[in-house]
Amino acid sequence: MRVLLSLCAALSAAPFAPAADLRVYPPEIRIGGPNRTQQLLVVEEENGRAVRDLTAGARFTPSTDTVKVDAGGLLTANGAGDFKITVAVGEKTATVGGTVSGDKPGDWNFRNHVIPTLTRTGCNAGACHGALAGKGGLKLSLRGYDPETDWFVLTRQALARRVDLTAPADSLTLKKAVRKMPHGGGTRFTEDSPHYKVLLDWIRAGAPGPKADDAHVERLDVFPPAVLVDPKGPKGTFRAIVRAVYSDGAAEDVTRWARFGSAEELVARVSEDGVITPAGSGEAAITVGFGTKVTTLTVTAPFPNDVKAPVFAASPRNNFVDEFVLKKLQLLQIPPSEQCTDAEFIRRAYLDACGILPTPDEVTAFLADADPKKRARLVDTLLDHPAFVDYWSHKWSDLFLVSSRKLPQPAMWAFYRKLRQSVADNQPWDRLARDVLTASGSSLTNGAGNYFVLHKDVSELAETTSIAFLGMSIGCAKCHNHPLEKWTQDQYWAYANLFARVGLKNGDRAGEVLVQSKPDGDALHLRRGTAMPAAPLDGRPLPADSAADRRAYFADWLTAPDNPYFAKALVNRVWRNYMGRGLVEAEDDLRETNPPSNRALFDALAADFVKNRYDVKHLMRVILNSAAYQRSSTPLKENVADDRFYSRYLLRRLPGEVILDAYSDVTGVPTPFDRITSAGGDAITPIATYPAGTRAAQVPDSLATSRFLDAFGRAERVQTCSCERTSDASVSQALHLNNGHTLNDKLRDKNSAVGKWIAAGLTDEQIVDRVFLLALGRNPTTVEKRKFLDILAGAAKEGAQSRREAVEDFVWAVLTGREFLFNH
Amino acid sequence: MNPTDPGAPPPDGAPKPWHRPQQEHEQQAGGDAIANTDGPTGMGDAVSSGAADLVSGAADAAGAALEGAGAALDIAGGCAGGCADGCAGCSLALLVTLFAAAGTAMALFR
Repeated sequence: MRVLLSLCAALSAAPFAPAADLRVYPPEIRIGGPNRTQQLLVVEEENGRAVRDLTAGARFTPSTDTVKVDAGGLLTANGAGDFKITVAVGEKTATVGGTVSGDKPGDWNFRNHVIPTLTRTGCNAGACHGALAGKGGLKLSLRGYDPETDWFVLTRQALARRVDLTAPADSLTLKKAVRKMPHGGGTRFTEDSPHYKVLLDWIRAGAPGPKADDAHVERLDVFPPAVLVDPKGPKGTFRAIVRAVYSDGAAEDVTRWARFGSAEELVARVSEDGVITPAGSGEAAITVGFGTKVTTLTVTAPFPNDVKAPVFAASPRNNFVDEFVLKKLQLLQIPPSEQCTDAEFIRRAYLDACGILPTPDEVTAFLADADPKKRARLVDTLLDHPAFVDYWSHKWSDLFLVSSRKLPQPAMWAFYRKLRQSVADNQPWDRLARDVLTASGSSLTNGAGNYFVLHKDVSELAETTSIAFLGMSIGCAKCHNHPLEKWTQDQYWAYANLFARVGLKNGDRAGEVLVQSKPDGDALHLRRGTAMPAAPLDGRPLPADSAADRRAYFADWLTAPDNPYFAKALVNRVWRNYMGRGLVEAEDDLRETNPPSNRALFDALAADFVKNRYDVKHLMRVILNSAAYQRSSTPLKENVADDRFYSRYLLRRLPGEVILDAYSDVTGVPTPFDRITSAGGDAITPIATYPAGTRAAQVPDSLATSRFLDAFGRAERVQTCSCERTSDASVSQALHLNNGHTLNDKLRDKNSAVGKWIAAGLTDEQIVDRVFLLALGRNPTTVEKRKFLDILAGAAKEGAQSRREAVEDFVWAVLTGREFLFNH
Repeated sequence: MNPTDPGAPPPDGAPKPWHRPQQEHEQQAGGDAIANTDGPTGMGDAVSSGAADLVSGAADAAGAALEGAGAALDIAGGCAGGCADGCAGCSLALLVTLFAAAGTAMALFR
């Protein structure tokens, strides 16, 4: 079939490539000198994705003696010069050209070859000599982040026995690794391995150390760039090869040293040699690391469904979000669920946007409205709803750690008021970021200044800022190069130095701190003991003698339209709130080795957010109006396994604050917030800050005492991390709902809605209808109504008290049911 | 309308806490307002956070020290008597001990 398609495409004059191509990787071969090697990869490719690895069956014919290629596709250079390789697979042929640039074998470089060898063989891993205290008297830097020290340790320490220049093969390093001598770490490699050869050659060459002008890796290329697995085809594996491109223009095959990992083991596994084995359906990122660089290769494994193109063509497209979502679903053969009902939509949208339930009147009016644009109108209404301000102020208070845990009450209120006003005014996200990061003056007058009071340590400030505004954690790089990311320790301290000139001083008023920028002060590199030139991540460094305000310089970089991280960090947070799962999970774990589930959509949303001047409500409007958001949560047989690609609305438990407020709304009994727990958790004292009727979402202090909120996973606001808030189910939640005071006391309260309904003479049927509309935003089904009416009628026969208890039990049953506790 | 409608004023007519003037929060907090803080230029921070605090970072610990007596007085004031008394008390005690030790040593020497 593929051959036929190729033929058709070749015969047509269409300007696109044939559906199936024979491709050879790397597309252009560059080799430094004789004896250096390059693995060739031959694949069948469709639309830029490899669908079959044909390397094993390919025939390789070099044009000259400059190189030779073995049957497995390993090319070895013999001498300098240009060459061509003709690759044949069956009737198909392809040609690839290349150059061997040197005429003598190059030396192995300590930084670019020896360290990667030690890393690949596990010598400098955290469990071995890379441990903080080393192992067996040998301490190397973790994964080789400090080559200079490692070279000293290997060549100078232990009476220089680790490297024997007179008898290289007798070097302790080699004898231990091949276990010619006792070695706690076992055999790391054998004498015939390339790793042994690299180390031996390096020692024979005099064990030269790292030089300041060594070429450094500028980027990694991984081939093939993407893999598409045929779910109905024969099982096969794919080999990945990795090429490093250096700052001096050289390139080499570094597959043997690269680190491979799979972000989704259930979709694809990868061996340490880069052989990929598809394992299930979905999409997996194969992460590849070498030196301080990382990159990914995407493996797409469609579900074994047979969904016809018209299914996707007929699916509604309300805006650009749907184009990208449907394209991905079609690629993965996941059919989208139907659109949700109006009743589902109004409840869902109220809860996701405002954290409240719609009232029965609002539900009734919405269901009766025949306007085809009523959903869009409802979205506009919600974004201007007072509860929207409560809900999102609370959300940003989680992000910025607003609480009296570290802030005095007046300062906490000043900070909260700043965030609340920002939400109420729909302040552009870049403006809020700038206001926070460049805040000066009194922390009581300018509440944003409390951000610096909360994070007094320069490292903590730098790391919190990275998580809050860039959605990425760089804390690992404080002590060593980031193991999962490209950030180096040097970059960390250059970035941290941006925050080194913030001065804090007590003001005159209680709880007041004066925040100001200082003209001097530096953050010293933990290892080097010197200050790095202050520089944003991947940004231009500020000249050391610059008098510019470093915070303002950082804010300029952060909010520049071409900043690759800032807009995406916010887009992902908002997307996750509405869609139940971030395009990147966790929502504040944006990194190269954790790619989004739909990169094209992520890029488009971020670009749209920037284009609309960081208008948060615009972003929300786009998401809420998309057909993807408005899909039913009911899965189809073919999409029940999908929880990443938005083929249906993902069920999620409501946040504790939302549940508590909903209980107050349905029962008519507000929750009192009249006590506060000490930061140590050892004392509870009364407070009169919150007047009766204050909602949980309106309480900015995470120390306001509430066992219910604690049980339902509210954020403690100790560290900026999405992991602080949990939506997991727990036994304490079940016990709290079953036996706890919160809901039961509300139902029994003398002012409870239950008592009022009975006093007003509502019939059982009216009560059942009302409770369903209040709590679930829909009318009961005939079966549901019959069942509850029977129970209530039976209880009424035993007297008024019995009826009241039965109604309370009925309301309790609805309010503790899954349909109520989950947004759907 | 829901009984705890977000837009509704509280039943007792009291303003929402964020609508109250900042001064009210300050008065309500009173002298305890700073109890939950580490002290904005807390000396504890400078001592405890190790190598990172070699830097004159956000903690401004070094800054506070360099600013000299004025900053020190600020800190003392900010600590509402607690650590200020402690520092002064300790210093005094150390001095007395030193003098006493020196006196004893001199006496023994003689």
